Amino acid sequence: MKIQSIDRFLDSPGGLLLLLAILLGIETLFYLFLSRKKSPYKGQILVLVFLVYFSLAFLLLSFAFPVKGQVSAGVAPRLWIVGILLCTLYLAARIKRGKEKYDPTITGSQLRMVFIFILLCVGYLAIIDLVGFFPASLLFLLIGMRLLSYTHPVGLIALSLGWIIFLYVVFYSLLSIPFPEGLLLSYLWG
Amino acid sequence: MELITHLLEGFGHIAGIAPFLAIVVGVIAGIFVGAMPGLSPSMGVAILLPFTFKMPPLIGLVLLTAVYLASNYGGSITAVTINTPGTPSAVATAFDGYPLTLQGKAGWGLGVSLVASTVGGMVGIIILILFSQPLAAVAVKMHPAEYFTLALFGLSTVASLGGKDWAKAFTSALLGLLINTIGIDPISGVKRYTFGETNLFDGFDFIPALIGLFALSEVFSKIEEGSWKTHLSGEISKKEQWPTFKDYWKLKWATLQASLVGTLIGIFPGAGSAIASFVAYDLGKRTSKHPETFGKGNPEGVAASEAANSASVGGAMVPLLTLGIPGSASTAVLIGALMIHDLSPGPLLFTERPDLVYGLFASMFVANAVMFFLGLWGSRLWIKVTRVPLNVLIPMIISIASVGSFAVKNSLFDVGACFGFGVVGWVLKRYGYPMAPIVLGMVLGKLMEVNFRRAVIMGGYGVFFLRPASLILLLISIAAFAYPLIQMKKESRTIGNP
Repeated sequence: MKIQSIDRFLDSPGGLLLLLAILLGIETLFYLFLSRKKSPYKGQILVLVFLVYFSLAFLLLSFAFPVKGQVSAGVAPRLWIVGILLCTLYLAARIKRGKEKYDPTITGSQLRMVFIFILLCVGYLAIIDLVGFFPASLLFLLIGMRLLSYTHPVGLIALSLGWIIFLYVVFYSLLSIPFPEGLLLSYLWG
Repeated sequence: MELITHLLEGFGHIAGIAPFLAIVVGVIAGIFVGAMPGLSPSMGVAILLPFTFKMPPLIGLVLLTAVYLASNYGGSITAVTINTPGTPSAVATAFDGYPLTLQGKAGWGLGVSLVASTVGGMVGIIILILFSQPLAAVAVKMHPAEYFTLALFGLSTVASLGGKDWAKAFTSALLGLLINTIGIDPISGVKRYTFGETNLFDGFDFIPALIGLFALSEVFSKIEEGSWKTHLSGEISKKEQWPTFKDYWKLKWATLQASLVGTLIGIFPGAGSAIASFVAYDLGKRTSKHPETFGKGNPEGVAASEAANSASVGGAMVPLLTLGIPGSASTAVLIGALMIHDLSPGPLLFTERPDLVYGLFASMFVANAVMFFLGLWGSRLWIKVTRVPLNVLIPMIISIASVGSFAVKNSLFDVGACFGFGVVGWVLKRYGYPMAPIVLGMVLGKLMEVNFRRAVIMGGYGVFFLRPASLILLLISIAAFAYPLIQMKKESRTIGNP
């Protein structure tokens, strides 16, 4: 009963946040430990940790599935999880024996731009409901191209606007896909 | 003789401005829908369906079938040029099509995909015309155990997709299978890994995952490389390279083999063009003289995938017309079209309305030819995408990814899922985990799990070994998994690598 109530909690939004927080904590600990040891497999080990954690979490959750019929809902996920765990074990052994390729070399500036773009995507998603899909997409295009060093001002505006008009005509006008108008536009136009 | 007479009469029924116009419009719409990520062939057919209400039945069916046929080719355009397969069946096309673009040979990728699609489509139609009724009888007798082992065989392509990193390829495939279990269990109705989120009741939609794993992960990789000031194809060649007739002729066996495989797999309801393209790609790699070049820009890979996915259209029409069983989502919509015009698909359709059936067959030949010429003309346009600087193309790709993901279910959750898959895909790709097996796992997951459980419920765990067809497929699958690994082990012993 206790296991089931733990599983029920974990299979809720609060539980998901808890699982993600624990994952972040474990990954941070491993990152600090591996950075100290100057391991050339830091990234690969972190990926393996993620896979093992994800699999074990899903395995734990699978015990909460009600058993209905001869082959319950938990059979297939457990089968795949066992496979993932075996593969990660094999990969961990290869890393231990030094048979895996080293992590790709990275520079701070290379990764920085990727993270900036990921944040830009998150921001883009966040403002869609506020300003509407097309204005948000236009802003995204302008900022995105500028960040990637496209500096020609006329080209920047023309390409961004042109692309948005194309998407608007094809997807909104022709195909009638109901993109969010956004709170701002709804307020302005009533 | 009777068949030829009926077919010639069929051509007679579509000899006219209206049917030809319907074919051209259908092909253009199909290519567009196929190319656009987020728009599926079934969506294209469904959108045009209401326009056919007032049309004569044959014209309406000709239009919709042309959309279905051309959309499989359309998916290859964005797969080759920007590594964003427009349809799931074009995923395998991207394996070699996109590397060709990166080598400055986008013309090769586009040209080979067009010709292979046309040839595959023609082969599929010929098999449809000649063998529809006996093949349908086989397809309908498939037991869930056989469906499971067929899907398992499809999954065995992972072993050759992964190459030396086979363990990472297996991990990716298993990850895809596990992700596919998220949502409401189709057999028992139990909620699995939904975390109380209603958007996850149906699991992650395949299209946003596909766009994220392929297109966005590649975009993030390009940003990381710092290559955004260049073009996709690096140095712009003054003259674009296009394959010659001789080059296409060298691919004849790969194309024919894939066409046959694609048609056969398309016949089985639910198997689909995506599975057909993966299996044909894998078979093409195993039978190629240079398998080590697959995944690095080998035109045979493009030909295999495209021929199979186009041939599967003919295959999917077999159960539709002969038994009224849809072989795919698009053929399910076509059943709707038949019913709207008061027609019942099945064996009687061949005897009561041969004009319709053979008119449709004839129109499929013409649609393939129209697709070929439109594709030839259009390729000179699509190739310009590779000339666009990456600092302009990257934000456009991300915006079309968001539009395409939203268009699936009109949900911003899918857009978020697409971005999430993009980030996960970028990280996994960095450390050598291939994306294709994840997609393969997601494509095959439900088919495998549902049929596995049904088979066990019907006949116990021993059913997979007791049914001859299932046992044969199982043994072939095991061999298909094990053979590339044994070969690699032998090669590494010979070379003396640790």
